[in-house]
Amino acid sequence: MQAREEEQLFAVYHRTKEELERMPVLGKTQTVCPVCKRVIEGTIYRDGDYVMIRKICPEHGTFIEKYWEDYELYDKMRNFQYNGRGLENPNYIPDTSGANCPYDCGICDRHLSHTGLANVVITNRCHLNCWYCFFYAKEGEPIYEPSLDEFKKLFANLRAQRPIPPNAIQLTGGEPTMHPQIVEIVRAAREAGFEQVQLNTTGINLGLDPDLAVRLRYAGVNTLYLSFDGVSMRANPKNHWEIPFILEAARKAEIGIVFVPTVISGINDHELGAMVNFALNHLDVVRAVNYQPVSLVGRMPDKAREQMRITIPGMIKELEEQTHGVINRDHWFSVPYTGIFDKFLEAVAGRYMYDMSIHFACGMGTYLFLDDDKKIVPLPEFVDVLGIYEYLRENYDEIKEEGGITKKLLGIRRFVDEEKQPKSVNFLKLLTNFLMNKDFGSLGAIHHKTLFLGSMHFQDEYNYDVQRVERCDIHYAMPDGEVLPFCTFNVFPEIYRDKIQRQFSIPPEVWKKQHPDWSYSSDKYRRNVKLLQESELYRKVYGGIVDFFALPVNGGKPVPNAKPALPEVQDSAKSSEAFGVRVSQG
Amino acid sequence: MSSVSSADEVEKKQSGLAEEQSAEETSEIGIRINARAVKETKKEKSQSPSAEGDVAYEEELIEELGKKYHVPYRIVKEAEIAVAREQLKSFSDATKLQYDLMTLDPVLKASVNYGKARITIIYNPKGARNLRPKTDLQELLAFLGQRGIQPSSVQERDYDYYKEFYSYTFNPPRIRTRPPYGYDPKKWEKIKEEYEKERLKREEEKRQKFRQWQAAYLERHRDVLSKYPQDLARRHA
Repeated sequence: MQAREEEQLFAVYHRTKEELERMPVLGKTQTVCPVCKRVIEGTIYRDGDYVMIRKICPEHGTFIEKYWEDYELYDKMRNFQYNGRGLENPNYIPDTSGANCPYDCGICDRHLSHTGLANVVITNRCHLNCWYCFFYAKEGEPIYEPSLDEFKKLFANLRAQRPIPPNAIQLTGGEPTMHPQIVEIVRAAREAGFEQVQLNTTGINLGLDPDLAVRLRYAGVNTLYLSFDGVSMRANPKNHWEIPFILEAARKAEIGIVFVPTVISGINDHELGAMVNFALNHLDVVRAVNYQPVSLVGRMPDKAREQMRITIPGMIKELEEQTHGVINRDHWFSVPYTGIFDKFLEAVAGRYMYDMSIHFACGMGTYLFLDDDKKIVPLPEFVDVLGIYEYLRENYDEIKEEGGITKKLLGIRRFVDEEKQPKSVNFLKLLTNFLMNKDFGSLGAIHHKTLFLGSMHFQDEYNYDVQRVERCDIHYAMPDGEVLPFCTFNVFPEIYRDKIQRQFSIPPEVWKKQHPDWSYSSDKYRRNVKLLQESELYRKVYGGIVDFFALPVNGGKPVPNAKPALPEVQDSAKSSEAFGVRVSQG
Repeated sequence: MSSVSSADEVEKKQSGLAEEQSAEETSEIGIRINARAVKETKKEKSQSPSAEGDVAYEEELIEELGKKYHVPYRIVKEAEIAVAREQLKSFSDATKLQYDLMTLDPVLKASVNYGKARITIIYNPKGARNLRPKTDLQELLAFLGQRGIQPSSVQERDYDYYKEFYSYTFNPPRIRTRPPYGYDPKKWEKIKEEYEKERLKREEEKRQKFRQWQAAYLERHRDVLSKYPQDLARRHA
């Protein structure tokens, strides 16, 4: 990075009081002091190209943090914001009716979104020791691993939510495949009525035991929400060596994969384009890349935080640079954009649709098509995405009336450029089917011909915005019956995640008595780097990467780090051990 | 201030502690009290899991319709504390107090209502039959006292965690109606029942569809799945 750019990057953190007061204010919100956690006022303001948040704690002074690294995108996306409907039957009614958010959680009557994706922690045991992860049982700590019946109760509780019961669930951990009854748990989730069952996993156990992948698919797993921090071993020491085996296992088992990179500035953000390219190489099995800019929970030195911080627009801009504009910032739309479709479909169909009413700053996405001639075509290149939004909004009243739909839907044709659309896809037909059938199921046909790119930025104490958390739709089902938004569960573990799970954990002595052959260290994975790396599959997957961005049809410019050099076994072993995964010999 | 140095400080200052602490040191006090609770927990855990008041882990299980569930508390306490509003200082201070109360291990739920000048604490009392960290009203009042809060009244009662909390969160009643977009509540009320029937029918159809998919999948992967008869036998469980 050029010195000038770097200076700009960090200058926003070090403004004087007078400079700050001159910055245009974009809005006020409630946030927390990162030190004492009191709820305080936050000011969202513009600083050049950036959107920032500042706050003053009477005890601990001023805190400044990046909110979004692109003002124009912020200005465009905030127009999509709307309030959802929350729950008719919230699980917890605090005395304050949610005024002390985020400390009134449970989920309370103030909350504005229904559960879109339900998360359930299967176990806190994990086979890895990732340095940045706080959520796995360390030596001497209690084990959180509910029984099958307890999971059934959690699933039923989630499915009892009204007016819109969640239909997507993510089983997470720890490492969920370490629960001995994981297959039965998946089956129970399906039986409870969840149609989309995701497994948030390192994938290692599936790569090494492909039968397990088949069993899980049969039981009902649709998607592996797979940790994938980069193509090279340096960016992804977690599961770089197993990735080829995981892809193969998922392929055989017919499970779709979502790559989930945690993006940390200076650590793996140089491989954003390479990750998309790698996904395109495995489009038969990879459905999406869902970037997660790092959430810097917990106290850390300011300088380290400033260096590691990246937000959704920051990630998008880097991706644009690395893909030479093939995927650019205009291709991305904020999640609540889809709200207009929900409103339209509900009014027409007379039944509830999924309400994606999260805060616009929490998530964005776009679709890429890989055409028969290998051309990468982002959806907004041939669909006037904004035009459709405006059209539906302006004609909402007329369309929802009986008989208005067919006539008005014909008007949508003009927003699709059939000349530019991929040759292999009749998008207009798919879109019309989707709207006429009044069902998101029609979108399945799109999913199988595309790569979805998404980005979710979970919060931390520095950029915390209560307006975001009260709209969150990724919720954890807790063993005490409460339901918690992602960014209360994970940002305040001392009062939510860790505290409640500890209450429902099994003391280590009892656990050991129940599992006499078990120890904390026996859970840990030992990697046979040599065996993995010298396999034909490893060499085929990493040695045979096609750089789609380097093809003339896509502008002929290679993405950086698309094809990492195959490492030496010795270097791999060092890299693995440095990350905390022991290496076995032979 | 790193977390390590705070913990060290906590340990050093543990012995003398508590009531004499001045109001100026309130930011430290929450941590100290919390540390004391943790220390007590360690002491309890160092005994055999079944030793604490003859409570065994198995006693934390509760039976509902023949199934066992882990419910760590039964009868605990709820304290409702009325205070002068000025003592809560501000809305922001009230949120901090609520947060600090919630960090205490024996506190299950806490709410500080600035508007109504009321503090509600559900806590695990000393002597309760369970393995979890405990406290008592005196300690909680001392904790509040260190923040300059002198209650004008305190009401305490037995709180049945299982009946009043756990059973509620697992079966919350509807408190309002949110009709689909484009429908007013009156119109929706008339068709709601029919809608619910339709919804259940659609769900059952989806389950059937999934079972059909499973049957086809089984045919494609019989070589693998036949090795796991338990997965097949429980297909319709």
